[in-house]
Amino acid sequence: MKTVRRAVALLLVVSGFAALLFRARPDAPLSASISLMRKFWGANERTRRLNSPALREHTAFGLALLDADEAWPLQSDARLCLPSALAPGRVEDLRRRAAFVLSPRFVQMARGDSGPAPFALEPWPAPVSSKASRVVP
Amino acid sequence: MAFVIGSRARTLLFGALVALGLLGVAVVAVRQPAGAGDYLAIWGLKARALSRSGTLSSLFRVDPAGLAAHPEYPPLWPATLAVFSSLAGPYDDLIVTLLWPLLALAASLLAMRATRAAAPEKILAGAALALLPYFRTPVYVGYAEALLVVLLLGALSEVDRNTPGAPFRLALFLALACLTKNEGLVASAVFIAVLVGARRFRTAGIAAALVLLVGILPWALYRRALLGPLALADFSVASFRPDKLVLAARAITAEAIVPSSLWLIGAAVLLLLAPATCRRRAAVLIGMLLYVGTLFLSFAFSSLDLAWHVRWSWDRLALVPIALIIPVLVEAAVECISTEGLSPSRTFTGATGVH
Repeated sequence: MKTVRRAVALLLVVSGFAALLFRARPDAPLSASISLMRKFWGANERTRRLNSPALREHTAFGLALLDADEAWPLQSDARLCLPSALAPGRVEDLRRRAAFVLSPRFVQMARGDSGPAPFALEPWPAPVSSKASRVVP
Repeated sequence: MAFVIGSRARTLLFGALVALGLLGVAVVAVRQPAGAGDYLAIWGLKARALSRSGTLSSLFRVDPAGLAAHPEYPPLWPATLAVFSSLAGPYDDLIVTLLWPLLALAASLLAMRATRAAAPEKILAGAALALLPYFRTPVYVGYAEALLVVLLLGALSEVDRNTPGAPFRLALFLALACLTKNEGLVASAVFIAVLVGARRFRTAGIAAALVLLVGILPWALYRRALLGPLALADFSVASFRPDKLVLAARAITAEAIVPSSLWLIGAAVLLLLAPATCRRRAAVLIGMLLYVGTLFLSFAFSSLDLAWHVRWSWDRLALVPIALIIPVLVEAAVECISTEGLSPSRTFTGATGVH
């Protein structure tokens, strides 16, 4: 009986760790991960942020956010205007990315005319010369 | 202790598993900046706000209406990210990824510390922790559960130590867990309830006092002063419907129980084969059931679509009970596999033994 118990427990432990190891196999070749690591750790802050998971699929939007983040004082909040036709999920996704990059600023959302560009970003409350601060792609 | 292979070989083998696990975690975490999922919407957003403004109130400024950033969430994790990043300069989403393997290492070491077994088998518990999928899931890098697990494993490792400082360290771990995530509050309540059940009133009293005075009240008062009463975005009393539990049970069965059934059966069989471990660790097992039961009941108060809520959260909610049962499962394995059984050991009710 003890031998059976021992064998079953051994089987469970070995198969459990085999499963953990199988699930722990790399999601990408190690060389690719190291190459990516080198690029990020060697890049300047702006390049890193633009290529981070937060912005890399939104280059124009990311550039506008990084420009605004560098130019505006931290005390100023922001207003992001997106076209009315944009789906709510997409709007929320862009709001989150904008809030993340511009943090600690609060990003006020507006829907409607963003001009010829797919979005418009400006300090909020808008300064007297708001057009000068407006960031568009 | 007679095992299949010798003690030194086991130490080397299990040590290699820990190293492999931690190496994998490090590669996944530090190869690119954090910036996805809840890190983007909650933790990184708040950490950046804290770091750049230097004021705690900035945690509320970024999302005063609580659209996605959960202003009610406690501040320890964003504060940890902010302080860690500030060691190297301005806030940097790449620097903070270094915390991830460090937390995996800490969790692994604390799992070893919480395991009542000889040295090689303690390392096995650390290896299991280091190999958990959570730490190597790219989107989770920067999430708060990693710190929560470290703190709760720290509490578990203190729970039956008979040193003068142990009750205070246990209480501190629990208080910090409350300041990390709301689940920390649930876990602390369970720890305290189990301590009371084990008639360890002094330790329970110290833990309750520190949890209340450090882990709950300061943040609750500060939050109330700045935001006023705030309903939890994902849960509310008004959303309570008992029938949601049926929906939650269905969703959990489909999302979690069926896909993980082999793990659950394996763990159950291992525990059934090790009655002495189950007796000795009954408090941990009961505590785990209480914790899981409380989280399950909380779905009755969910204000979100339940299927989505379960799918989005179950694996992260399950991390704490999984991490806390690893030491018990390793002890059960040792009881079954070792020909000599376990050496005398401390029990949750305070009896002392050799460690």
